[in-house]
Amino acid sequence: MFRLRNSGLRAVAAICPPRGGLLADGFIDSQQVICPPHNHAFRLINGQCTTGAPSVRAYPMHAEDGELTLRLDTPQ
Amino acid sequence: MRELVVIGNGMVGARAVEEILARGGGVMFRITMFGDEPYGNYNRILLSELLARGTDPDEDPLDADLLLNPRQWYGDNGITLHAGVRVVRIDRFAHRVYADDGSIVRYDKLVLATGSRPYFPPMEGLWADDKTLTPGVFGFRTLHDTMAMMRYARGKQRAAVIGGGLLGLEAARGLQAHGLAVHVVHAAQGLMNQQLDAQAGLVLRRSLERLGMSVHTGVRTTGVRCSRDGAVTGVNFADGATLDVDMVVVAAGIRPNIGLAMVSGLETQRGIVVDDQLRSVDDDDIYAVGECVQHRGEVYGLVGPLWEQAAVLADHITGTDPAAAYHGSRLATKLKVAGVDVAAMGLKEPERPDDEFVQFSEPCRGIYQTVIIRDGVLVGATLLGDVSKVASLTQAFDRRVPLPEERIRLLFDIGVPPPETGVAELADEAQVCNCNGVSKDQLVACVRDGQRTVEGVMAVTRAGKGCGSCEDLVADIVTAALGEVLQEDPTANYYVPCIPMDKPQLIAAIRKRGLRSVSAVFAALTEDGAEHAGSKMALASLLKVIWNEQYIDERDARFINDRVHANIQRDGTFSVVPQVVGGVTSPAQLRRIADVAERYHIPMLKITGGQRIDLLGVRKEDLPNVWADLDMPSGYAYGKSFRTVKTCVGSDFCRFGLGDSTQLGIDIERRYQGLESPAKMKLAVSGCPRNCAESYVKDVGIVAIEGGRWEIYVGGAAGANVRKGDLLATVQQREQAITLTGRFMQYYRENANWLERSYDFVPRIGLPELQAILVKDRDGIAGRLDEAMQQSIDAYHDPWQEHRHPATEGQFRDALPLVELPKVPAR
Ligand SMILES: Cc1cc2nc3c(=O)[nH]c(=O)nc-3n(C[C@H](O)[C@H](O)[C@H](O)COP(=O)(O)OP(=O)(O)OC[C@H]3O[C@@H](n4cnc5c(N)ncnc54)[C@H](O)[C@@H]3O)c2cc1C
Ligand code: SF4
Ligand code: FES
Repeated sequence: MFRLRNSGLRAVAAICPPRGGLLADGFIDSQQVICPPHNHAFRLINGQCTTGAPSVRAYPMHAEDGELTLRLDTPQ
Repeated sequence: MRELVVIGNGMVGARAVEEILARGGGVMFRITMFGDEPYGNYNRILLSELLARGTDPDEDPLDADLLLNPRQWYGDNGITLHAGVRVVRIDRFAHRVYADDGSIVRYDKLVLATGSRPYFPPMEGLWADDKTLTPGVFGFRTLHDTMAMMRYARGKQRAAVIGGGLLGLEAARGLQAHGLAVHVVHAAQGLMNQQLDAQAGLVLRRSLERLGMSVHTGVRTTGVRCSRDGAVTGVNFADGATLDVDMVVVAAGIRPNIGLAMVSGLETQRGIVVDDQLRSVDDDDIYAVGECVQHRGEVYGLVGPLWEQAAVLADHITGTDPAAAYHGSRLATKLKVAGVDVAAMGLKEPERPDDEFVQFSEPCRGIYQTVIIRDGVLVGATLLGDVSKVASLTQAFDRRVPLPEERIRLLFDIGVPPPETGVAELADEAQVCNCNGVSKDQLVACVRDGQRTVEGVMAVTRAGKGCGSCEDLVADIVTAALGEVLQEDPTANYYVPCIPMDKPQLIAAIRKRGLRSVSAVFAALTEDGAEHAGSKMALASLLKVIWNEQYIDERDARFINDRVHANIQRDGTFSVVPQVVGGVTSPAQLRRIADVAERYHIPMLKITGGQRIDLLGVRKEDLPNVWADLDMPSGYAYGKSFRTVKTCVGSDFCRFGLGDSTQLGIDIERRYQGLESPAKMKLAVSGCPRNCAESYVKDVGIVAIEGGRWEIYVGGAAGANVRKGDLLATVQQREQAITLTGRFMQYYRENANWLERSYDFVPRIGLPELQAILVKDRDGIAGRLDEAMQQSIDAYHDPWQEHRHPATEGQFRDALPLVELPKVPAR
């Protein structure tokens, strides 16, 4: 789960599909996360890879009254 | 140090010394040079040019163009030059040379580079006495000859040039430029019969006649006529004819200067006989090189092959390549003779009945071309008047590449694309300028290094500064290379892709607006104020360099390695490398490392190439405790930063040591530890040129040399790229070495592109430029660089102290405690 600088929330699967990098440790901006070992980039909104690797799963997420809700069952 | 003596300070003698210096010979040898001519080494090839240019003969002709090595060069390189001094005897048994000014010099190794002199065929009236030519008769070999000719030519009407080879025709063209009517008298039937067949000789003759020369071939000159006061008035021919002239130039061939070698008991035939290492076959301590040499029966009279000899000699004498061998040269020459382009390689005529012979002749335009093919391989070619195909033919000749079925395509483009492709096709290492030994890749590199004009490239590389025949090709190559450089995407110069500025512009903007954090930079300088993940790391590094302790650190701008100060591994664990300054450790340190390794079940301990110990497989949550227990500062094995200084044992323990490399390495590492930089910086200090710490292949490498001095090399690499560093400076004091190291690194920090290693940065900026800025302080910024460096040093703190106060909650918490990660097997 990532909190963006504009306070938005995003969630994607933790492991980068091609080589098993930890997306949680990656760089983010408002659009994408970059996986540390090999610099694959994924769009936070839908998990689509912009550098030619398979996509990761993205999860809708929001905050309400201090509670974070993340839906695991969304059809992709 | 061993003594190296070089006899002959001409083109090849001096070139051989340059090659020796380039291989570190300045440290191995004390070098002494003797030269009969009273100046530094000049470009003999340009004498034709000088003669034709017809400058005021009383002016100093040794302008920058003509001089290859001015006197100062010798001093700068620690060479003792005896100019205007002739060596008269070698005592091979006492290893001494005796010169005509009475000096005696001992040698360990001797190089003979005595060149040749003009051959004067027996002719009545040629000599005034044993040593003096009749007034008005000249040879054409030296600057002195050339100046004397120009002086004498003033006010004269007619000249005869005896000899219709390369030199004779050059002399003829030169004298014409002085307004004389020139007669070329050639004993053989064809002009330039050394290089050209009879047909080509005829075509050349026509071209020269069109230029107003009178050519007499098949005519032997038997005597020189003189007036009563002893000056030349004419020449006599074997057939009884005569010619009235005011001056005579004899260019009837050259003879190697072998007298000295002969009286010293070395084997001489046509030249000094040498083996494949360019050593006299009689004496392993005596080398010979240049026109005075006879190798496998061949004597060479053009510089191309002689450059090759000089390089082999240098490889061998310095031990750089003990197996270096010269196998002789296949002659491919390209010349401009009296304004006419001539290229010749290999055979000039077919020799066997089944040799293929393609011939094209167009005498009115002065064009004549042939190729000779044997067994499908190009074995000879002659191009006269039109040498546009010389590049591809030379390549076919040198490399024996397959030839087009239609042989005529070797000479002409028949319905095929424009000739520019020729430049692109040319192999990178192909020699373009034979006169000065400059290859295509050297020209291209020069453009990459920042030269932006053809003239600039020619001045730096000296290409085209000889006979001039290669000028067009040089221009084509430079233009093509410029095109490539300039066409490069402008975004390639942006420091980060999301801000349209190169690094200096970006630094200026950041300073001006006082942007102290990565998010502030994004907000102020990107188009839409958006952040950009891929640019964060580069900006964080730059801001730290600019602001030091005033930098506002944002965790999300840090790469994971920099967030936890350790190197992330394939399996999500980390590697921890504590600082071992200068690679010198202690029992207490080793004990602590051992204890930590056991306590935290570290699966692998590894000695690194940087002389440290790597603890691999540390779990993220253990990091703070590992650091606390190690109680050693970070070694920065994870960052884009100053890494280590590798050292050798130096003068304290090594019997070769010339300087205390270990202590210098320790001091440098302490001072510059952990500094951010565009890419990693690995350093080394070696105690002598044996270079056990590999200083020649480091970002900054320091080597102790004789006399307590230190050499500083920059831009070396021994990773995926291998490059020997360039010698930035040699300094007297260790403090200077420390300062200059810092100054270079600061300049690199401020000017290198993100992730640009010093081995790309140094060639990009160019060594002379770096020396001007950092050593000579041309731009007056050295003081500021030193100061900026000091500020960075003052702002340094050891990141591993964060174990006491984690920067964020969960800094060292495993991001994925529940996920099974790939396991890296422990050994
Ligand atoms: C006018 C002219 C034009 C040329 N044009 C071309 C060209 O277009 N292309 C090309 O490839 N080549 C050209 N050449 C040939 C080229 O210059 C030579 O091949 C080259 O200079 C040979 O170098 P070297 O060092 O062997 O001999 P040199 O350059 O002659 O040097 C030998 C030096 O040794 C000195 N010396 C000799 N004996 C002693 C002694 N006992 N003690 C001290 N010093 C001694 C001599 O004084 C001389 O300075 C040209 C030559 C001339 C003269
Ligand atoms: S570089 Fe020189 S001083 Fe250092 S260990 Fe090697 S031989 Fe000894
Ligand atoms: S080949 Fe003669 S100047 Fe380049």
